[in-house]
Amino acid sequence: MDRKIGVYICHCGLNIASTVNVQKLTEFAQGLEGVVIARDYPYMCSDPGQELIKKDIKEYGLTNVVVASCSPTMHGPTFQKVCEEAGLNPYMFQMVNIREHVSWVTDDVEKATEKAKLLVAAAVNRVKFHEPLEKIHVPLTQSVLIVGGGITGIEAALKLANSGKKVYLVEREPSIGGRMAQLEKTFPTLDCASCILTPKMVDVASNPNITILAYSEIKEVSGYIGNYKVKVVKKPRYVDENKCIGCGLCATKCPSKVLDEFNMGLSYRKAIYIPFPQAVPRKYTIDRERCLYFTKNICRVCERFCPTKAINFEQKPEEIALEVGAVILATGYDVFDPSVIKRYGYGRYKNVYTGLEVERLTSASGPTNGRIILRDGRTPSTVVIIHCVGSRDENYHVYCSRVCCMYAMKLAHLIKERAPNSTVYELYIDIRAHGKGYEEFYRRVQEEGVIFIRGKAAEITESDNGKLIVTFEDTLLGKVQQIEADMVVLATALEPRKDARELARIFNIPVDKNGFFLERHPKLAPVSTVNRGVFVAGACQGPKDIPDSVAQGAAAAAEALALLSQGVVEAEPVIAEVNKDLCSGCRICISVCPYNATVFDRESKTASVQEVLCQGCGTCVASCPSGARTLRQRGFTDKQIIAEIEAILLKRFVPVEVLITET
Amino acid sequence: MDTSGKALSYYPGCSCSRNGIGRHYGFSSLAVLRALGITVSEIEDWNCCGSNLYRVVDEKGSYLLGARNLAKALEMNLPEILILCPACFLSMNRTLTEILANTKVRNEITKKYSILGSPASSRLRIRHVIDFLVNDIGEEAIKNRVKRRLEGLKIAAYYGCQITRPYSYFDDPEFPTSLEKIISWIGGQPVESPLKTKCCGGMLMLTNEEEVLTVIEKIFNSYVREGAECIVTACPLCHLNLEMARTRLGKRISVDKRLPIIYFTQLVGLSFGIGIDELGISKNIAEHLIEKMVLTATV
Repeated sequence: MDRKIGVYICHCGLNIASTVNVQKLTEFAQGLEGVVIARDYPYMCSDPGQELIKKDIKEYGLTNVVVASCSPTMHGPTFQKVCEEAGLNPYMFQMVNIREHVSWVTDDVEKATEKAKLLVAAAVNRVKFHEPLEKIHVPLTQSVLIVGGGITGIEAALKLANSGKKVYLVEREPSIGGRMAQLEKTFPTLDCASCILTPKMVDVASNPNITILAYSEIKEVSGYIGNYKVKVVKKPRYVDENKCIGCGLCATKCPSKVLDEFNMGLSYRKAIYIPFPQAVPRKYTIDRERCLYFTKNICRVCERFCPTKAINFEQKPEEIALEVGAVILATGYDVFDPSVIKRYGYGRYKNVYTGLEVERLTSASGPTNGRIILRDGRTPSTVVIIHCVGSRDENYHVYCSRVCCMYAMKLAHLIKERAPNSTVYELYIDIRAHGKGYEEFYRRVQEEGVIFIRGKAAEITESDNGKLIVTFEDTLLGKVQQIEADMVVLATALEPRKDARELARIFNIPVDKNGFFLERHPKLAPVSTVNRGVFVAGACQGPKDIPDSVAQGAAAAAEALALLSQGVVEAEPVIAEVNKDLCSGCRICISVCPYNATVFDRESKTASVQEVLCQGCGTCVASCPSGARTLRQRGFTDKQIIAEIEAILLKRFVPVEVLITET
Repeated sequence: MDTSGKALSYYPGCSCSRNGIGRHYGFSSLAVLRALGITVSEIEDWNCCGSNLYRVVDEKGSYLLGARNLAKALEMNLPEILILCPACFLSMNRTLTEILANTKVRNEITKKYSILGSPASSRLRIRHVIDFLVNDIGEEAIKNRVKRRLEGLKIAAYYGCQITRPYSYFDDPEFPTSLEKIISWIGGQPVESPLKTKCCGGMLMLTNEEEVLTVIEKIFNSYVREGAECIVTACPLCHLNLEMARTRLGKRISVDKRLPIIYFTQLVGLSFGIGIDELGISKNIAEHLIEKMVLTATV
């Protein structure tokens, strides 16, 4: 086939043109065999630049286009679209990066121009072996899996369900609600957290499009974008959900007391329990570890008293198989354990609390019914709140947890409100009150008499009279000082869930250096991931407050909706393909595939590539013992690659004999 | 861990040597190790550790002093060096770290002591006696050697500032618990103080006595509050300061004049049944301790 190649050299303003002699490069390209037209232009990606290419494709009847400009990840798709619009198959295009690979990495004009020449010659040689490829289309299952039933997951679930999509909401705990259910009030408006959360929880429960799978965990995921197969394990509650009416008689009769994790261990619950009064679903759960029947084979009192005979000690874990088109991960965060900071003595001194513990103390339904009292029943007269415990600290987490300043101030406000005679100090590094109405709240708390001291607490010791001595440097005064306090509150960091990496592995998405789920782009694709059917939202992607989490929950729902409403999903055809006639069925390619895309076809006893799963990494192609004829990578065939290499290595800018022939 | 036949070199430093103020720390440590079947060989012709104070005025000189000891230990083919004094421990650790990590220092040092530039130098380890007893000898071996369990005796461990800081590879830098472990292995009841790693005042005793007394007063009070019947130290300077301060504080503190302040190795030696002369414990102190103890022979 006669090739008519067009070469387009971009100046990228002065980014390229100041280092690469673009005129010389264009002249050189014009002289290459097969090239019918070579042009340069200040901004090839601009509208007139694109028009230039389109016009040439039609006028000269171009069969291939080479653009030498920036990185293909930047504008590759732009120029592919240009080709497509002008009627040329987009895979007949090749991009050369003469910015990041050439002009930005040297000041030597001559050398840069020479290197650019080689790269352009290589691309021109390569496109001669390009072949038209067609995009792959697969249908989408019209349902969404949401992992995590906190405020983020709830928001996403409601948005999707209200748009008519089927939603499976998987929650690990016996009730949905997440961290927000543990909060008393929310900054900066001091809304009652339960009052704004529980109606949404009820909406979720009553929405016919939402299936709540509480007390359940994800076991396994297979399939691909639009067609995920998910296995969920529903842990046994030992209570029949269909029969339990949530009357609570079982809990009143249960003799076994357990530290209440919902109240951060500050009170007791029974071995059969609901985590909090507004739990959804309102179904009781038996804590196997503490139940007298399971531990000592006695009791069974709950079974005797249950009016609906809902107790079932024989219940087994149940595996549920789901098919979904998209996934939203909204698994939230864990609270940093401050006991590792030995100098603060958390766990040793009984009056050193974490923020979330004090949050429970302030809650009307908490262990003290909202009164601020210490473990010995006293009301504290001096309270010190220490900021950045575990955050902004090289020893623990370098990042800012974003919510601590605000929740610390909210706690200060609540302590002042509930114990009006108390003196409250905030020891801060910097105050980060970045949200709407946050700065105003900071001012309000100051006006309420909370004392702000700039400086990080060095250590806490206990004095002879049992008080806590907080030592710190007041960095505005430049003096080391001490405060004698009755209560110290540690504003602890937010950190990734302990098992976040495991979940990331199951869903095949990366985590960032801190262990949070990694978004595809920090600004332009904040809830997408590299796995195109999997979205992330809320604090599992990084510390977030409620407004941001809700916004991300809604954003992830919109992304999932945008995906599902396409009806079919388009996939890149630059992937591996098997020549079934030559495949011996050795299965080596199956063992090396990182995406589980190559599978063994039992009928033909050969390997086969699941087109939508294949990411075109080429690992299988390299592993195939019978070579390029059997497993070949579209868009990266041996012919194409060798033509490219030869043009560079042989420094011959005339067409070369291709040494390997392909079938 | 099987430590039988394990050989270490021993660096006493000025204070724990035969004529030093901490000689009883040295005597008792060696006696305890002997009882556990460990032989240590004193580094031949050792010199000053390089001293943290000297380093401030002449850094290179300080490293050269420390390096000479390291080189001697290597020449003896005993690269694990046992040290008692926390100041020596810090200083020698610092020298070793600099030799390993700082090319400029290494070049200067190896000009003088070429053996420190050899691959063998990577085997050099500075070991504190606490680290060695807890992590190499271990619970079982110590418990097996106990002849008199210090049943019910409330013992406070005072670490001082340098044992775990900044070189904290054998325990938590802020809240170490190794000494408490040893105390409980020999049958004692460890008592806690939030001030156990606070500074004893150090050299300030010579120039600003009142400041030091204020600091130590708090340390004493925190131990007395917990009912301590004996305070053990692991540093000659801490030991000296506590002893001196007790006398000078006089009525300002409610510390029993007979409350024994001894080295932890002396206490361990006592429980091993080693003679008081060998441990360097005065008869008064030993009697006082024995009076408090319920003596039980181990199986």
